[in-house]
Amino acid sequence: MAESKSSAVFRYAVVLFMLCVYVLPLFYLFNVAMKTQIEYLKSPIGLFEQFRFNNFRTAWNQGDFSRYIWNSVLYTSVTTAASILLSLFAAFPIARRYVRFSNLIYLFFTMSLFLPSPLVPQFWLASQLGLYNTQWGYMLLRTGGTGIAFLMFVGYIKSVSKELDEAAAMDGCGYLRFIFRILFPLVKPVLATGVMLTAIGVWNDIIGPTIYLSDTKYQPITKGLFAFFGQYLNNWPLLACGIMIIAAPLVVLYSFIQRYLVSGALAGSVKF
Amino acid sequence: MYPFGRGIARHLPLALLMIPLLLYVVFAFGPSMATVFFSFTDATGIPGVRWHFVGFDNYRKLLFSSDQAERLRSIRNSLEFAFLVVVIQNAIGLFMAVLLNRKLKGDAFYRATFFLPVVLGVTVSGLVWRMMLNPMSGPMGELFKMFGTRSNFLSSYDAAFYWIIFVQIWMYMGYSMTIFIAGLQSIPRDLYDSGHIDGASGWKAFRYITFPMIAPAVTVNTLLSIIGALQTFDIIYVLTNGGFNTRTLALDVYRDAIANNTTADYGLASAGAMVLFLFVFVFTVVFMYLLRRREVDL
Amino acid sequence: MFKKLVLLGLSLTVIFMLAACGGNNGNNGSASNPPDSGSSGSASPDSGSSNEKVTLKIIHWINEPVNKYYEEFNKKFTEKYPNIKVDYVTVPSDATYDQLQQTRINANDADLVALKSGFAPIPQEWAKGAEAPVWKQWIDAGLIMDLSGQDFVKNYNATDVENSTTYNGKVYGINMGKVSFTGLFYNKKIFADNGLQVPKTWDEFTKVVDTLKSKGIAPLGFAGKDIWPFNLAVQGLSATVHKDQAAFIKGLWDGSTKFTDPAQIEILSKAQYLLQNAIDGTMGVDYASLPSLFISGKVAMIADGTWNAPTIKSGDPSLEFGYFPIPGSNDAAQNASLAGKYDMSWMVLEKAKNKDAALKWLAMQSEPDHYAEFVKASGFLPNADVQIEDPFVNELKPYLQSFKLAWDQLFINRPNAGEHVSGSSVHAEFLAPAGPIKTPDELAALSQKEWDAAAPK
Repeated sequence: MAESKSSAVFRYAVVLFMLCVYVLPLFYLFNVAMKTQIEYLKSPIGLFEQFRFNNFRTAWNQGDFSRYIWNSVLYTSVTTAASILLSLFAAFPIARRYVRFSNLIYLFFTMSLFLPSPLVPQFWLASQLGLYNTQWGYMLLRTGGTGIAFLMFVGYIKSVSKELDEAAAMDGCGYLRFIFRILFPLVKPVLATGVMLTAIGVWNDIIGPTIYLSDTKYQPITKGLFAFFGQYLNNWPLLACGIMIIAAPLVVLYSFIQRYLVSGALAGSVKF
Repeated sequence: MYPFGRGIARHLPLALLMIPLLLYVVFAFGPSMATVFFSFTDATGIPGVRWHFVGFDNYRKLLFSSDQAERLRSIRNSLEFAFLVVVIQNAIGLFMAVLLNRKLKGDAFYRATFFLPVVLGVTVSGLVWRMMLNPMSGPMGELFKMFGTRSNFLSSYDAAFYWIIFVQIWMYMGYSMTIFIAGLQSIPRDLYDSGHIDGASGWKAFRYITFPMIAPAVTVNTLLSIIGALQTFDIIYVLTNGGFNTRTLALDVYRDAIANNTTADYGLASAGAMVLFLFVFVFTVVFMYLLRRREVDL
Repeated sequence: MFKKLVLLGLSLTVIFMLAACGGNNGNNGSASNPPDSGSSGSASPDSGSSNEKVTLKIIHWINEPVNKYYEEFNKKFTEKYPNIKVDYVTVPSDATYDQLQQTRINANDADLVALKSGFAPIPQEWAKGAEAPVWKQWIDAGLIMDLSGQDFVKNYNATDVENSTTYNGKVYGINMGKVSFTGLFYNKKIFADNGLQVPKTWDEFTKVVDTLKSKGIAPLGFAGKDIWPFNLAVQGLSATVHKDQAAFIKGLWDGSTKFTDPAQIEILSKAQYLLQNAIDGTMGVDYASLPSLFISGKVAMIADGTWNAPTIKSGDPSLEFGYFPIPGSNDAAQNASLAGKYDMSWMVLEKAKNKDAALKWLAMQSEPDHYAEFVKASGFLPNADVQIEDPFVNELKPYLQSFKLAWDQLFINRPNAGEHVSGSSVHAEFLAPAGPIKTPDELAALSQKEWDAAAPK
């Protein structure tokens, strides 16, 4: 489509403005992270005097992140993998109507998006079942196959021709084999998006581990952030470093996955 | 028809489906529904304390007690929050999607940047904006000064609530935008070409071709942002903890469920959660109905 | 799709309401069975007496100087009792800690629990229908161990034990000391440079403020973002304006005194004066940034509790500062003392798995050497006769001849009171320029109206 010069200028101007709104706060975070506490107190807004990447090391040690990070990796990878797998187990037969009451189950699962917060009964239940203060118990509680990933899978699989199933079955391919060998690669964009969204939730969880995991040795990386909240005095530069340390792994994951995001979202919007 | 064999094999899909179904019923749906039950009791969350059925007392307490003014304001705040977030977030999201959907240098980078807050999560985004909006040491204060004005931002009784809305939109605009872009990309190119012949261009093309075609994306975005906005409390907790007229129903539920100096009023929190659920449910159903009908009409 | 969703929702709601009602099979219906805390070192109930390995679980909130003290102390404790490992967990002192407390007590997964204060306010006959404070409910539910008669209790002053953690004649906790918060920290250098003295009356105070303003120095700083720190100053006014706060509070319940009484109006007017003379943007300062504001010398005085002296000192060891009661009255004698509260207390859970270890921990902590070190680290005013050579604490001594409780330790609220009287009831932050209400009279009238509306029927 032909486009006038002025409208092109307008478009870039808008994008530039929006970019500022998004990048400047994040740059400000970095700016704070590069200061000493004294420097921050004296001139909170001024540009940092020099790169102080050592702040990251200080924050890493003070937050005791090395102690917690493997727990986070464990919780995030296991629950994300399990949730995605279960979403697929749920989505495929429902999208294909291979089980009875597919529509009803679909709606039932959709309700998971807006159910009232179950925190207290859930805690009670977890205690009764002996899931309290166990790592796998926490992971079990965080695992589900009904969230947004499920909805996207259903939408996406519906757009995949059913003839594929039939053709594969003709060749003697079984149900499970079909899911893992044929469907899996096909749904890659949704997979990527689902992984991202699920991982964000688990990685950033603060309340869950505080409640369900009482032993310090089970705490995830978010616990390290607590080290920078003095009750009486926050060390903002180190807190900023801590925040960036916690966010970094997700941002790296995101940088690999982001190119799938649009096609993943596309699947989600096929049908709600 | 089910192509993957008969007999035992026929039941495999159901068997596998049972795993997520069971997890969901046991750990999410069941406990959620227990909330209905607790909302009619005086449960406190203290072990060993007997609780009793109190009928609709908690609902009465929630809506007609002597602190009614604040409770009702919480509800009004929730609705206002949801309305503004849904409208503004989706308007900006759609606008940016349309801008970025056309050839623009570095569009992938822009998209990634706008989505980044979703990745960073509430704690990080919240803390960043707390620093940004600190009236004494934050850059926003300086910016306002340049325009010869000042604000207390997150501790202003008039403005704090709107700053929270701003941060919420900042966080999730990228999400809406991504879904809109996906919707836009699904529109076949030739539709515009044939439209062009019919004289549709610019605004007209948008109104009569683009907008109808992205109806599913509109539906998804509207519903997700309604649900998200009504249930949000964590960002409010991080930014103001409910001070300065920023309490919402969802935040009240959270606060009532935790013992502070007085005991946790779990019954009251459950009643609040039920009212909130009712809002979400009704809005979701109504909007789904309206938006679906529109999708069909077009 | 739409119809089905409604149908589904309705039918599920009905089903679960039925199921839920049927499911109440007559037990007392709350989580009472503790789960096995899987890995916590195979603790058995009579542990500690033998050499069996046990893990003592302690929960506390983040308060850096005190946390550091406890980490050291726990090391010494483990050296003395090699069979006891200590798991000392700290989380932010906001709702995170409240939630942790709640869930740990529910799961019976802690031995020692820190309470944010002493036992206050004491429930009173005349306050009918008031909600019971959470510590009382825990004690009534039999969750807290009775420590009466334990030897280590005697290491603390009997009056302090009596006033802080005794309920129904029994000792249910160990209080760690008193703090005062009705005064202002002042920067000695700024005062000296401008020839200022510590004000003893309200008129002297306003002169100090005027002098500072004329020199271009912001007189006051408050952590307005978190609201309660500003309320500390208001409580300071209240403590010096009222002759007898307890009597006034009782009067509020029986109607003989009102929030619109001249004394209350005076407090609100003076609170408004404080707000008007605070540094620009004071309402945006969060509590964690207040010490830095003071240390940086941008303000001459801040309203804060004495517990923050160690933090200020650690922020800048060369800073010279002092603390004086807010002189709300023009009668210097009225202004001569500080009010405060009993700060944190330790409680042992009745069903704790390692009671014996918990008692050993409390006993060791009560030894004068250790307690003295705690007092030094925390900045608390001690509950025992330990000698602390701390110039800051020594300066406070004249103000503390007799320890007075502050307003929020005495005030008992009515349930569901409106926001202008909620919590500890006086909410001067609603006054302009911080809040939307123009005059003290309007706020007072509103408070009284909401107080009346919340009266028990």
